Amino acid sequence: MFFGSLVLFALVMVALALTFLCPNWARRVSPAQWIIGGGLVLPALVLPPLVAWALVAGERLLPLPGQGVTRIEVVAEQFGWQFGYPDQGGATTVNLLHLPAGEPVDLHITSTDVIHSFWVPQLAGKLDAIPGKTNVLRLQADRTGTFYGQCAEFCGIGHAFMRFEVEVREPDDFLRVVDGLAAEP
Amino acid sequence: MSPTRPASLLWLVAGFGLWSTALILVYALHAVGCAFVWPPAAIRLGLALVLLAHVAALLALIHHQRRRTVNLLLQVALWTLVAALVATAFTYGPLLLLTPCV
Amino acid sequence: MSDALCRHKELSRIWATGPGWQRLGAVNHSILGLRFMITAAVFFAIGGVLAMLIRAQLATADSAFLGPESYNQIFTMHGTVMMFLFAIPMLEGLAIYFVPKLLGARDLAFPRLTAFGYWCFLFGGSILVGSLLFGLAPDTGWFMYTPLSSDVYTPGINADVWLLGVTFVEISALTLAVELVVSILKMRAPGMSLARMPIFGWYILVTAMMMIVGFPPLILASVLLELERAAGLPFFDPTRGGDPLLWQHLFWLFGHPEVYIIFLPAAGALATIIPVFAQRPLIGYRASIAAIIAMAFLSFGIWVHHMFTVGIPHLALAFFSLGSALVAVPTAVQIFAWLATLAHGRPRFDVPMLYVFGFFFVFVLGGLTGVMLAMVPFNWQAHDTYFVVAHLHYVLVGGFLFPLLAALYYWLPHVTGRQSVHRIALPAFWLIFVGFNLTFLHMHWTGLLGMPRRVFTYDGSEGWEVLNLLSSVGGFILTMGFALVLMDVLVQRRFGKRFRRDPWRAATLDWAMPTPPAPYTFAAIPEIDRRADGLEPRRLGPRLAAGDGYLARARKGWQETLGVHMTTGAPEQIVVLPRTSHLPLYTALATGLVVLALLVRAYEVAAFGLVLVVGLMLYTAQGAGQKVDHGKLDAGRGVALPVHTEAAEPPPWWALIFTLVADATLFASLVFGAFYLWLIAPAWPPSEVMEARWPALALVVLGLSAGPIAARAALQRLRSGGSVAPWLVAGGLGVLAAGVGLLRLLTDALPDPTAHGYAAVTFVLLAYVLLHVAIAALFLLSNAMRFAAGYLSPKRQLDLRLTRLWQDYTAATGLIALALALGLRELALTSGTLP
Repeated sequence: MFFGSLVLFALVMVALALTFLCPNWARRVSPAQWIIGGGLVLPALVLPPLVAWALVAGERLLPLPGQGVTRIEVVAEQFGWQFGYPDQGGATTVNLLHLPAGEPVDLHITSTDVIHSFWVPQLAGKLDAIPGKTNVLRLQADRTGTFYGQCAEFCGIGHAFMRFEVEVREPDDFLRVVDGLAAEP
Repeated sequence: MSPTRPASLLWLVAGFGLWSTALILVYALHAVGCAFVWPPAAIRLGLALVLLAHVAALLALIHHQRRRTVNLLLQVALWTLVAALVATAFTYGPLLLLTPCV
Repeated sequence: MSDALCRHKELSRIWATGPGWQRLGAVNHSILGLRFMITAAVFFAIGGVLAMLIRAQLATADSAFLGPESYNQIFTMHGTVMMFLFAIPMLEGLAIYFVPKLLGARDLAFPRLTAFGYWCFLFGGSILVGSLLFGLAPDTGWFMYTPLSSDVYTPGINADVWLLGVTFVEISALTLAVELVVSILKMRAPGMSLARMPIFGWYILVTAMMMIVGFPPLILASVLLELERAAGLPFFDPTRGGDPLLWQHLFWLFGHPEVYIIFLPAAGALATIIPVFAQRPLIGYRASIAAIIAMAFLSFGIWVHHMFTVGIPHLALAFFSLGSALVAVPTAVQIFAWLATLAHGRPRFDVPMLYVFGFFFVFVLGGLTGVMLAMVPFNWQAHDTYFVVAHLHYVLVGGFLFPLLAALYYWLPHVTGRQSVHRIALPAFWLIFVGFNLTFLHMHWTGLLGMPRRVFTYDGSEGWEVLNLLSSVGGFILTMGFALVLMDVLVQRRFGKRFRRDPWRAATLDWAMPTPPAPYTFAAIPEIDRRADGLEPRRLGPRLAAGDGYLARARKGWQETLGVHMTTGAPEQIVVLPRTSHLPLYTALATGLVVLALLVRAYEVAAFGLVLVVGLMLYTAQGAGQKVDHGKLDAGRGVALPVHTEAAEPPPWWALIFTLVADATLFASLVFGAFYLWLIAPAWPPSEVMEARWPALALVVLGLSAGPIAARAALQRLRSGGSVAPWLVAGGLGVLAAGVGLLRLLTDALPDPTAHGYAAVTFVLLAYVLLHVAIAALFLLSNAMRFAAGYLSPKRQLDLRLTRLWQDYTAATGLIALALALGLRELALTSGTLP
């Protein structure tokens, strides 16, 4: 997409330059050719494959009902995050999200006050946390490690500091840690 | 209708006006269908009918206007009708292949 | 003394605005257009300073320069000022100043409305900017998302300042949009059919239509949110049957078209300037018109692409995404039409062309990132990051500011009568161009690295520091460029070389007049016999000055211009325009009083102010029109025409039609809101619904139906020369019946509107009808007063026709609203069964 845009940008700028630098060539292209070629044919070549790719990619990311997807509840509030693990005995963590690596997880995201947005740049796109509504984000972390997440929707005075940490572990380690949390009093 | 009456200007907006009604219907149909948990096939059928009706209406208008390009504005109107037809197919056609309500 | 000089003196005496205090009563489009542009430029400077503060804060990590309280106010106001107080008024000013000149009219259709619009803009803008000085400026983002902006999370008046101030400015924009549409459609030079209109006219026509349809959703949203904040009606509160996303829908239903509303006039300026420097008429005139129309519609159908991350199903995102991608096509058509014009002309270089080059460079990049953002999966990643900040600045600066600067250098000689001094213009351009790209080009990267928008600081561990510092440096270079442009303008005004006429060898009517323009604009109105971007101003100008055209003779001290047939441009009527007056200023002051009173919640004062506004408007209406029938009068060139008061389709008739289009859009947005809450909002069904009070309902239906009937009967009476009084009284009784019935429903049948979104939205539906019924009463009152004063005659029926139109609209929307109120009651009861 990035390089495609560069090519298109270069194309327009070269065409602009040619009208000044190489008027004879530019004049040989008829007005209709300019408008139909640049205005209709060019987009007709570029847009359909691009949107086809985007729609297919979008479909792949959907949280379609499936079995065995771990459910994690995300509750945002000014200015922090609470994560609940109902499948693992109802443990909760604050501003720290535990995830298993290599497995799809459904994050059920909501908010108790204003609109926030859940975003871990290195793991997935963002999804808003909206009061009165629960959004589901299907996410799969492919490698273990520590990642940073933050609120991406302006939510007031503490917006800049509404960050959280994500610990991605091997599935067994994940279960051990979360089960351990649930067992704590 | 006389090609110079003020109402003839409506031809300029007829094509994309239909594109807009298609948008409203598609949006409303999908929202209502999802809220009432209609089966995906029913929603898809509804979307297809909306699309079909609008394509048919646009084709009919294009057919009607094809030879009425007596002045510049009606010529432009014909172009907008054709553009609206392409836009309608491009915008709403792919929806029939997607998963509704998720 | 020569004939031309005599004419100049005589017309000047009629059209001139007096000195001193009388300047405040100016209604002339040249004066007001300039005032709009200069005021907007001042607000641009203020917005620019705010941007500098933002860049200073973000230049380094953990900066202690600004705290979040001030930072939030500053970024909110930067967006608000640039959008509402700079871009929109600037394009309006450009249109006000040039539309009559390009189309061959002496002024716009409603000069006093122009003045009223200006004062509303100035006062509304001053309230907004003034709030910064007190630290009370809005601080919840220029998009004002609920529930953050609701009274629970933002107590204090900051958000009210935004809602009321922006609505004040929007009303001004809406009135001007109506005025521009009517002026373009009805007040051109004879022979200028729509098909011969300069392309700038088409751009402004479509833009103004978009404003008429685009602003009402925002006005409605602002009114609803203010009702929630001030009176507790829960439209956006998810705990009481409201939905915060309703705000986003209404906001972006305005907010996305807004981008195109800003871009199209700038594109119109480009399409005017490029042919002049290519030295040939525009190529692709017809394709451009089709592209503009396509763009206008598409821009309304893609608002959800600002909301891709709110959790709307993918299928619904898909068609908004496809539509957004599709907008690239009409944009490309226009860009390649301009390239073709350059290719087939003999392009010459001058300062305006530098900015045209800047436009191509910056805008094309912005357009391409726009297509990227239209792709849903990419958007999920890039949304609300600095990638979007970079994108929107490329689009708006590329699509508006660069063309505007091209227009500034192209048209400044028209305003000053002097030519530009190039020595400063060149470095100014390069500073702006380099500064802009240095600020925003790598900001795309900052965004992709994960920097979210609207954070007032970052801790430096993220790797954003160098990029941000570069952006800040770029921002300051950009500012220096603008400072040089300002200097250049002042230098040109003072030292520029004077010229005779048409310095650019243009081919449009705006240069067929002395510069700076005389208050009457055209000494005579030309007959147009070809597309009006292929004229010869150098020859036409002197002919017009010599009186070779329409309306070259001054008559009765009237400010005359021509009204023409909408499509063919055949002359139809002599439009007599109102003289200078302070009434617009007083009316705007009274409106400002209402706004301020609402702001501090002094409702008695607001009511008093409202009475004042209504009184002033009725008083203004008293002076309009003619007390005698004139029959057909000589319009020059052997044509005799009626005065507009006796014409079949005078400008006010069309103005009311387009006002009702805006009104109907507002109503449709309200209906959308009602259905949206029913379908989507949590916490439905409500515990109580409206009682069906049949007597009250019947009374309303009776009263609403009586209005159109009485209006028709009155019109019939007037035509046959009888007294209209009985039928005005009958209309009044209808209003009374409808009003009483509605009040009864509102106070008695409806559950507490603060309890639930259902009751709140029904309340507003009924209140909407009540408001229209009340305005119908004012129409009837004005009719009675003007009938008594002799403004109506069998030939002068306009007042009663306007009343009929209003009564028809009131009855139609009123009955729909009633049906909807009853229907919503049933739906609310069934929504309990929603799965």
